[in-house]
Amino acid sequence: MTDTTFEAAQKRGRHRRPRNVLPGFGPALGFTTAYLSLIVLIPLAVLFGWSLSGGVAAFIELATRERTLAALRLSFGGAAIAAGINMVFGLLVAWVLSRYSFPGRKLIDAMVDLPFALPTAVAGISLATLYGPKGWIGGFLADYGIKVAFTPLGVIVALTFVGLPFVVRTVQPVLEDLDRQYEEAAATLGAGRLQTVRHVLLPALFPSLLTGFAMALARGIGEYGSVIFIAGNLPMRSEIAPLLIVIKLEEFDYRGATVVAATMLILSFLMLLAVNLLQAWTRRHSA
Amino acid sequence: MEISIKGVRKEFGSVAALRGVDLDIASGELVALLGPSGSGKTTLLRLIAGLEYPEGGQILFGGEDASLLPVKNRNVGFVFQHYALFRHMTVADNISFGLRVRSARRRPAREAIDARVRELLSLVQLPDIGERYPHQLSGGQRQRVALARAMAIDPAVLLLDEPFGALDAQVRKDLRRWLRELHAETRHTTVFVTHDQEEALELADRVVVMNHGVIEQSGRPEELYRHPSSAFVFGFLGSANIFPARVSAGAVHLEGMERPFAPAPAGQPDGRYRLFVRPHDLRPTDQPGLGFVGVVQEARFLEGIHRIAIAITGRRDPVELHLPAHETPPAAGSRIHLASERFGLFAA
Repeated sequence: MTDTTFEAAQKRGRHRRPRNVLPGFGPALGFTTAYLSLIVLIPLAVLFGWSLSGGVAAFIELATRERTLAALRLSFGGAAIAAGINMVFGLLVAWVLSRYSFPGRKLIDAMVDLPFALPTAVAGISLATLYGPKGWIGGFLADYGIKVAFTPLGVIVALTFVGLPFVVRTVQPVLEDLDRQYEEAAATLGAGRLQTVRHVLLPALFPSLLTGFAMALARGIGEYGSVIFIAGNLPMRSEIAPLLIVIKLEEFDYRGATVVAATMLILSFLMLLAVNLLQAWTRRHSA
Repeated sequence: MEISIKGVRKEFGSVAALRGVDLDIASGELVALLGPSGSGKTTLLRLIAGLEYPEGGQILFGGEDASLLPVKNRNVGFVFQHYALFRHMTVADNISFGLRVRSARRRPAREAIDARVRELLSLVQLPDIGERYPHQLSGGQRQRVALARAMAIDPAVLLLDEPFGALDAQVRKDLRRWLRELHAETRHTTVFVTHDQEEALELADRVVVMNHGVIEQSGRPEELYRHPSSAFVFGFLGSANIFPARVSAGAVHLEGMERPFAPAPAGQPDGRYRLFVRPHDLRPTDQPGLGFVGVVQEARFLEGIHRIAIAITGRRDPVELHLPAHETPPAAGSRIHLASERFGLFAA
């Protein structure tokens, strides 16, 4: 009798999808979708709607204006260069913090997070003062004919400042987890220090370096507060895209503002997609 | 290559890891460093490799002082306990790593490297996995790839740190036999570290027992098992029943027992001792004069041996007795009279 009911249950079950052992998939997915729609999707859709309100041709015309292109070039180029600088020196900081123990290590470790915590305007004003023609560093550099404040170089300095913690904080835990035995194995096989770094350590760190780069890049593209004080904001030269949006808003040019914003969004999305694909590719080769 | 270790000392902070170790390893020998954790066996292995430097003493490779030679110039094949395979490289790239990092002058041609990789893969009996990544392999396969990688550089000596520690029992047994055969074939001078006495006794030509940073005893497995020179070695190399005992008037007495246990070995001075006797060296006997009497608590049968626990008055732990399968074990609750001619006496 038990057999027949079991079989009957099996037969019934055949027409039904097997249930997931983790309960609550339906509500969880529903909530996630609703939440993402509310927070991300709907605002972005409205943004694209506004930007296209004058038609595609008008969008392209506005997006490819010289001043817009210059601002986009500075924002994306500056962010990429700053993220690249952070990738190199962030790795170095992470290396020092995770591999050596020295007095003051905890203090330096805490300082890395300051760019996160500091209000960006405060950071911007300090950087502008420091790197200005009369500032400590700016004055010194001016003697050698290098101008930082109120030039694209200043933009890069500010973006490097705000992006540093991203690389350090993504690489550091991986580096701490990376067992010394890999370095020792390379050494017993006859590899020199540089060969070990190049063939063993860097490939192991590459996925996390890439994550740090992507995060620093994303932050740099959208950064506003710390940049505007040091950049000087000369149109065509040291004006960043987020500032251009603010300027257009102040001129009540809402469509122009949303066009710049939408263009930034598309470019950011493409860059992050590329980084993610690269990451998936490297991950397939390590796991 | 023969290796000679002379008076090597090593400290970590204020903790002495090795306190003067002397050891000669003949070319082609397979040596086990056996000891409990903290005995210094892994430190000794890492000193031979050059992953640590000694505070005193010398390590000679083929008669030449290698004590201060950096690890990368020492030409040792080291197999790590958790293999340390490079995860982002294929098996073939892992194995050829030691050849590829050589300077252009000493680096073999591409084809020669590929041929060497194929040769090593077939030597470790994994001919078809060159293109796979380490995470696609089982533990036993990773172990063999790690060994192939270490052998690729034609090392002066192969050093293995707990080579079977991370594997499950059956794989461990298979790999042990396989490593024994591989050594017979290649005759690489090999030193491995283990805390498993069975592994050491089964695999090695010579077993070096270490404790508290010194070598307690070294010798062929059977010699060590039959003639342990200290209480530690006796206890570490197999199970043992331990009794407080004394020697007087030419006889060994167990504490609290009336009749003598056995005649005292020739020349054994009178005094207090600890007596060690292996469970399989104890024998039921009818002779009334020697030995001791106990009550059978329980008998179990495992791996072809009757394992019998015997309670003795005045002793908390039961005495363990092993009988071969063909003998009938005594019934639980029955009295049994045991004696032995083989035992060890060590200062109390």
